Amino acid sequence: MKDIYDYLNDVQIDVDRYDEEAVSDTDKKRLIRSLQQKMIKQPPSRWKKSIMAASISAGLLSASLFGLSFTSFAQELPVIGLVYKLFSSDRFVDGFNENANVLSLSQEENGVKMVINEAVFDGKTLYITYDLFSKKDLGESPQILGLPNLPEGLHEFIVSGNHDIKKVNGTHYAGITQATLYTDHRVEKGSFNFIISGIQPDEGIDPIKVNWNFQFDLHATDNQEQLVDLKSDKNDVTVTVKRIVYTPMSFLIFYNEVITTELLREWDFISIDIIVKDDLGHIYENEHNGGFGLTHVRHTSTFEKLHPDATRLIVTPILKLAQKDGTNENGNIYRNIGSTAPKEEIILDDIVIEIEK
Amino acid sequence: MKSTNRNFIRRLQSGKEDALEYIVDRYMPLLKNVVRHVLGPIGREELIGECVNDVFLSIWQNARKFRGSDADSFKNWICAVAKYKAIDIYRKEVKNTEIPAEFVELLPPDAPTGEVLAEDRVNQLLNQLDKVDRQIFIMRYLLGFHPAEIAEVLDLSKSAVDNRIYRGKKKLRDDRRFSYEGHL
Repeated sequence: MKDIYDYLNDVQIDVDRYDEEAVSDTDKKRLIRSLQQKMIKQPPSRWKKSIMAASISAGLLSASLFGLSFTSFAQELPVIGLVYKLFSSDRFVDGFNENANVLSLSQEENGVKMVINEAVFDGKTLYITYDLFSKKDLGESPQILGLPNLPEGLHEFIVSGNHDIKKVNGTHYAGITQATLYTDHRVEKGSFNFIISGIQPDEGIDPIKVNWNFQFDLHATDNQEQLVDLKSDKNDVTVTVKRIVYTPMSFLIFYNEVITTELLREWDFISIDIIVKDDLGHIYENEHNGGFGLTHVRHTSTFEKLHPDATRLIVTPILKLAQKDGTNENGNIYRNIGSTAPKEEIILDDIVIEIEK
Repeated sequence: MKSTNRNFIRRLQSGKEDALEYIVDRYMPLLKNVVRHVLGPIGREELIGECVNDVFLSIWQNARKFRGSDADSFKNWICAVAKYKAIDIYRKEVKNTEIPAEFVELLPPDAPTGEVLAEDRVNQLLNQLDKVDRQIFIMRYLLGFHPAEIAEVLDLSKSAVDNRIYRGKKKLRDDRRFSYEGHL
């Protein structure tokens, strides 16, 4: 259901009749502190959902690395942002519509109908948008159970995926699923299956079983690839940007991280973030697609569409180290939000890349 | 990554705390004034502070409901949120002293102090109306606009606005689920 905050978008306020009052920095700080105390943190279910989707890759990951991708997921993935951006036709999916393949596939079972609208595949990551029409309420953010896959690809299987589903109104939902292939090379085309075994509504509502299989063939969008091979190192870590792939919607950075076994032994959670900006000062939002390896980790991250006037990309790697708070009953280490256990951040030197046009 | 004037809306919507700090820094002086316009006459400075706090918390929690993308429409939206919150507090504060009938009449007599339910009710009511009526009701009852101002903003005649208010109230009253005797 829409609420007053939605409707306030439609109301014109005569903003100019208000003046700015003098507010001291102390007052601002006091307000921020008080807000931080009241803020409701992201519910933990968000984590669980991402992890459920990611668990398909668990076999590839050692225990300590699982922790690593864990923190990356929790802190860095603007998952919720992506669908929102799709709705507000923001930059991240600029170029989505003109490159998307209109599919209009639909299946219906047990009072729920799913219509797959569009899909776009950039050679590594697949994006699918869809609508769900349900007879009964599924809560605010239901999840679908199932991931797309590429049954004929022997070495190219889906390695991570995320669903983001948002209520449109009543019992109508819209969603986007993003799935990334485990591959270092570009996949030109593929016959995808999207098998869905159920809908998991919000907590307290019974799951709905379905047996759907959507099938579609997609060609990858036209991309441009640039080999880079530039590195930045400090103490126990080396980050190398291997190559960049520019797609009509986004660009992907393939980068490697090499750490020493000493560092691995010393810290429970080790992660590398990269911040990417261009020579015009624009900072690019990104989505980390995951990394594989133990001391030699290969990562990819997807960034929003490159600014056409940018000539240089500046990549700043940040090494994040943190200690665990404890070990849970399954033997997995964990760290709570706001934990006081030691942590450290090390900023590496910038890697400057001339963009090949 | 830090919030800048180019990315703060998106960062706010994806729940990044630094975006909240950014909007407090940039908009607190303005929103405090919006709140003061409504709550100033009560003459209790601490109410204004509490309300500003409430306004920013609501902006944070509802950021994804903002539909625009530029700073101007964002400013308009947060001013609307501030005015709405201020009138809400005004209504609660003056309830026991004077009766600003216009503001209370949409709420049930036993409107709880916990405003979640109250907001739910208001939302249910608003969803019963068509788009223009809804805009009129929000402006009239939740933001305290005068019918003449509403007429000007929506490019309608004043009598058309009055008429729509009358018909809207009737519609809400006829729907038994939402009838609060003596208040509509």
